[in-house]
Amino acid sequence: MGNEKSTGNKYTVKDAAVIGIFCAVMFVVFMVYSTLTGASLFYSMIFNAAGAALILAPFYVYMCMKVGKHGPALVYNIMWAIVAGLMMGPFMIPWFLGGGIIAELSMCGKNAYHDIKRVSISWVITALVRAAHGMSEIWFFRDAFLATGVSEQQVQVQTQYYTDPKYVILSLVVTAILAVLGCMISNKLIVKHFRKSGAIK
Amino acid sequence: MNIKFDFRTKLLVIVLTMSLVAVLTSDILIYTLLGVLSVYLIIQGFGRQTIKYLIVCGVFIVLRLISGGQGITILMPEMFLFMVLRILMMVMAAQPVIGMPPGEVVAVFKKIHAPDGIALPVTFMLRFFPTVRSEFSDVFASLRLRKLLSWKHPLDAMEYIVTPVIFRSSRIAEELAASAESRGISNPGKHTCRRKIEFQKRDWIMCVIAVCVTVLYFVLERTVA
Repeated sequence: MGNEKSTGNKYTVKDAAVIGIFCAVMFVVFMVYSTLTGASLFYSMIFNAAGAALILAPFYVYMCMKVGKHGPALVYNIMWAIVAGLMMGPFMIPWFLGGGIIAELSMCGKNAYHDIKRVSISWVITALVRAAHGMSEIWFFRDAFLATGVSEQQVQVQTQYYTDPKYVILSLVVTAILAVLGCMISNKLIVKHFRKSGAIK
Repeated sequence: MNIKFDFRTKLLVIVLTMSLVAVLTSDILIYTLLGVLSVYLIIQGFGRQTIKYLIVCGVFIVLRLISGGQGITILMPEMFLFMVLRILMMVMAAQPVIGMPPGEVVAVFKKIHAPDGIALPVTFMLRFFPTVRSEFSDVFASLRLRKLLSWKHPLDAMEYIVTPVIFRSSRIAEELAASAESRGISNPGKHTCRRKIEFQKRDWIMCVIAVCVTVLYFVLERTVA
């Protein structure tokens, strides 16, 4: 296991490999998790992104700290934009792309990718973008969403939950809390295992 | 049958399928599109995967027909059945790209001058996708053997699962990066590829067929709707 700290701002092949492989791991974990929990409509609508924010946090935090330079937050969200575009419709691409740009901007400054607080902020933004994507379908892309052939029942349920401030706030707040909790747990894992072994400095 | 298409042809099919999946509302058109995608996969030698996809799709189609658009109880709402079918169609369209050799992916990205910041992670991601499952199953098997998997201590279980997966993934990332470096992936000069990357006659034919099928589906969708 390499224990060198990444130097310079230029992307290396190793950085690209770390980002690519951890994105693959996160996609697979998310797909399995979503399939297992997708059977419950209420959970899918309100808490899917919150659970994902907790489960995926260790992989994201490790990926950011291992690369240690600007880019992972944006690239991860670009990958999500591509996947979301393929799975949900092209109208979702700008949503995730915009979220990725905001997440990357939150990492401005030197050594941000080695600071758990800054990494947590970018993860919270990423998680909230994912949590709000279903809401955005109703709020901003309703016509495009309806054109996808989505069933009446789904539109009704989604409109019911995502236009009710109580459910919107519940979903976003729980997502933010679990994202922060996930990053705290990840930081403990980083200190306990990965710093000790020299995988991350 | 094992016809090899160029990456750009496969990409076009994915984009066209994405546009159809986003627009089609008629069930019968969606089901026939599954048939078209099956033919597309079979001619490229993905017969076994096609059968698996069709079995899963068949189950969900039957469930949708049984439910009559109302979902199967609270456990399988209509939205779940609807989403799974559409996601499966996209996975079927993407199957030939997921199964591409990494060398070919790199060569294609170089040829179309894709930015390295995106092209390299995508290449590594496609290379790693087929092995993610085995990485996790090895870890789970090891934890089961030591009787360390327990719902009573979810945080401990999470640590026991996540830590080895991260270590293994990180090690694989370094090995793949070293392997790619040794083959000159970061060489700034002109890259050559053992595989012939060219848009051949069969690619043109496939692209024309794909565009025609897409237009036909759009017309049928308007007629049916």
